[in-house]
Amino acid sequence: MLLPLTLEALLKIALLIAGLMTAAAYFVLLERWIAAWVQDRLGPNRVGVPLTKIRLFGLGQPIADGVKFLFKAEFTPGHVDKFIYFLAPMSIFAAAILVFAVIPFGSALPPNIFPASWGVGEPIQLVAAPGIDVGMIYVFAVGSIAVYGVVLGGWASNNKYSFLGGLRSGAQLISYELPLGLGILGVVLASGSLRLETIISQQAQSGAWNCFLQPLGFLVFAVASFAEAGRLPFDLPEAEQELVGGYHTEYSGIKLMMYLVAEFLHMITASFLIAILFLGGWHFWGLTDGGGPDGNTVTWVVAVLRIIVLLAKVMAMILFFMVVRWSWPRFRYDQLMDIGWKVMIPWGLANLIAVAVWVEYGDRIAHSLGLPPLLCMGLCGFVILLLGWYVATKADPTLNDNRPRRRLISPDRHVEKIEV
Amino acid sequence: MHDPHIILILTTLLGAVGLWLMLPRGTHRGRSVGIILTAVALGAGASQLPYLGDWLTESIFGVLAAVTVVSAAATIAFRNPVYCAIWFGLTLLGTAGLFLFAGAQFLAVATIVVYAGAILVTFLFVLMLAQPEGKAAYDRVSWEALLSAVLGMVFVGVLSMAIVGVFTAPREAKERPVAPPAAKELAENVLVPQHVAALGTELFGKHLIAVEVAGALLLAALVGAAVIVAQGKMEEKNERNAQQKRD
Amino acid sequence: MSPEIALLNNYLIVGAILFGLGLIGFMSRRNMIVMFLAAEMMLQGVSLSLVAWSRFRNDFGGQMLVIFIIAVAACEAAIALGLVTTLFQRSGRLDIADWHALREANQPAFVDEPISEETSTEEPLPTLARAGVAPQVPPVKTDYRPNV
Repeated sequence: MLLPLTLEALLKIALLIAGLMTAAAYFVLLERWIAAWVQDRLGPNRVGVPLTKIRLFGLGQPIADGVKFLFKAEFTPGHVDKFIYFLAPMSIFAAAILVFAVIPFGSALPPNIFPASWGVGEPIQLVAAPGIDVGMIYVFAVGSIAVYGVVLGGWASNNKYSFLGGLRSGAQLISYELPLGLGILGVVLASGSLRLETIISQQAQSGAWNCFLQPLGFLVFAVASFAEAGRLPFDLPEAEQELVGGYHTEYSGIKLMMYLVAEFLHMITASFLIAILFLGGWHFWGLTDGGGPDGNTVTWVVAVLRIIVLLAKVMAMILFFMVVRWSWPRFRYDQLMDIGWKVMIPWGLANLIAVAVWVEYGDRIAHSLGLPPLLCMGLCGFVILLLGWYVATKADPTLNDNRPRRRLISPDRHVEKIEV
Repeated sequence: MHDPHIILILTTLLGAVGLWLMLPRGTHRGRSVGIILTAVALGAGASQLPYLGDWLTESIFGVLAAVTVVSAAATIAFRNPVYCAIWFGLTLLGTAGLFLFAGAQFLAVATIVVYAGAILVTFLFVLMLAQPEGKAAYDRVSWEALLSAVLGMVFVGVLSMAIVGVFTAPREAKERPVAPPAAKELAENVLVPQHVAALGTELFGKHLIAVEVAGALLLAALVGAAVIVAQGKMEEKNERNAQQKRD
Repeated sequence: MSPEIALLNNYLIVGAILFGLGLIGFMSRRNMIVMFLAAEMMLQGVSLSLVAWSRFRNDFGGQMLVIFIIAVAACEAAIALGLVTTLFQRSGRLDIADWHALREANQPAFVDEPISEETSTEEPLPTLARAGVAPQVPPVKTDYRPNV
């Protein structure tokens, strides 16, 4: 019993790591293509098959970049704190990969693939660790460890600008963990479980995706995951005009590659989570219905379709992440903090309270109104969204007018009042 | 020689001397000897731990426990406080792993989220801003190093002897410890697959008032911390105003 | 010994070791933050014991207590941080010996012994000479062989 389980786990881990590393490399190429498309120019299209002249639409570019990073001069500056300098990129890279232990990349394989003598009874779940009941908090926990890589990298570089960049990035990551958690909590409350597979099954059973039922939570979670992944419009740590390179100024070679790959892996994780929590996971109306008594016994066709649907949704979210990078200007640091603490957290709380009220009294309200409960919940969600937007724009004027305010300066210094 | 009590006493002595040598004492001399002695003491103590059943369980537990104990010793022995904080983070990861190994999944991830993800990061910020030069003079010495090492190790030795003694000494029937639960009972109660649901039912069922009190405590702590820092700022401002009036 | 009893035994001993190490750290270190880390380590040792007992007795009560320990540790960290910040603002250092005036009445005052500054074994980083002046190259640095 132990050996098939171990082999199954090791196989899934191998698939995950191979897939993720290839994806991280080729998504850099995808980002450059999208940047080129947005900016109306050709992207990388010269490096095809290495060492030949075949162009292949630039598909060999990641291989060339990888080889370049490997052979680059790995220079450790003399003034850095060597142990932590080595530790920081490793910790953030490890944290970025560890998250995928609980993220499903499909639903399950059909039962009875293997002969009965091998002892594999249950259908194989397409998750690396199917028994973890606390899946969502595990994602959260491992995401908190990523802060260390940033803060320690900035401190170890022994350099004012790196240190400031590391502190700012660290503060940004910590501040946006709260709206991330609040967005997740609404979904968890509605689904009744922390397991990601169960959340998808709930959305599949009811047929309504969580982005329609809890649009405010969706918005809060999406914005928070942009900030946690450090993507524009929240990429102040990477803005060269601001802080040279931020916390990875002093890094080169493989250590820098680890930081950049970890950032891409964070983006992939965020896309997976949004697709699973809010966009219905592997569910698509009509395509992915399974048979059997619990509605979840799949055939090979359905299993493969489910994997394809999930990966298509993840791909769509990643494309959205990438197009946003080239569409919007970045936030200033005080705007970033304002949005995180003063807008996202109240919205997340409002969403959580609305979901809590709905879970308790929703059926009665829907019955008394005579509408189907899901439609009612969706309407309620959109009302909360509009209400939240209205209250935020009225209460916090910086959302409409983003000039620096006088209150940034301490009150006992004399300055002229900035005309509003 | 194979009497577990004698081995534990030797472990205690070796560990005390090793930890005393490892603690920051103002000099570098003796640190490597201290590390070796502590490692020997750890090995001797580990040889007294009972076997857990099969080699896979024993090796996983051994790795987790070794990581936890070694990083705990490193936390108190390093002189640079940022290194102490990082080693403490590794201790927390080891403890979380041990929680997971015992079946307490929620506690494992809650430890990482709260301790390693919030408390330790905050203290890392404070350290980095307050002490940017790393090691200060007061980090390289300790208070009574020998006394605290001996005291701590004697404490650990006495506890270990008590723990080992309870489970191995032959006793009369009425003094024997309670029988452990069978695997079936565990799978229904503590190790149930819907761990979070069972934990939540117990937490908000039997311990509801304690949860509410803990919430009030968290609020009081938040307000208290804000007040303490604000008072410090106000006093500083008053001092500056008084200084300006005098000038 | 049944595996459950052996597991309990091992967890209790690891918890005791963690508690003891935290005790040693708290009593001997002088940096306020490292003292706080040692106190948290003591709490972790206790949490390990509680979780082990919870599994042995097949009762969630131990895990409940650990949840409350985590909550109280968070509160303690917040207030400790506020205190440490205020103390740092007054004395400029994170040394607990600065506040030895709070000792008991029958204890002697603490006198800090001067310890030797750490001599760094690394060479100083190279600096550029002023423009127009030939740099001072130390004679031993040139390690080429005079005849190939």
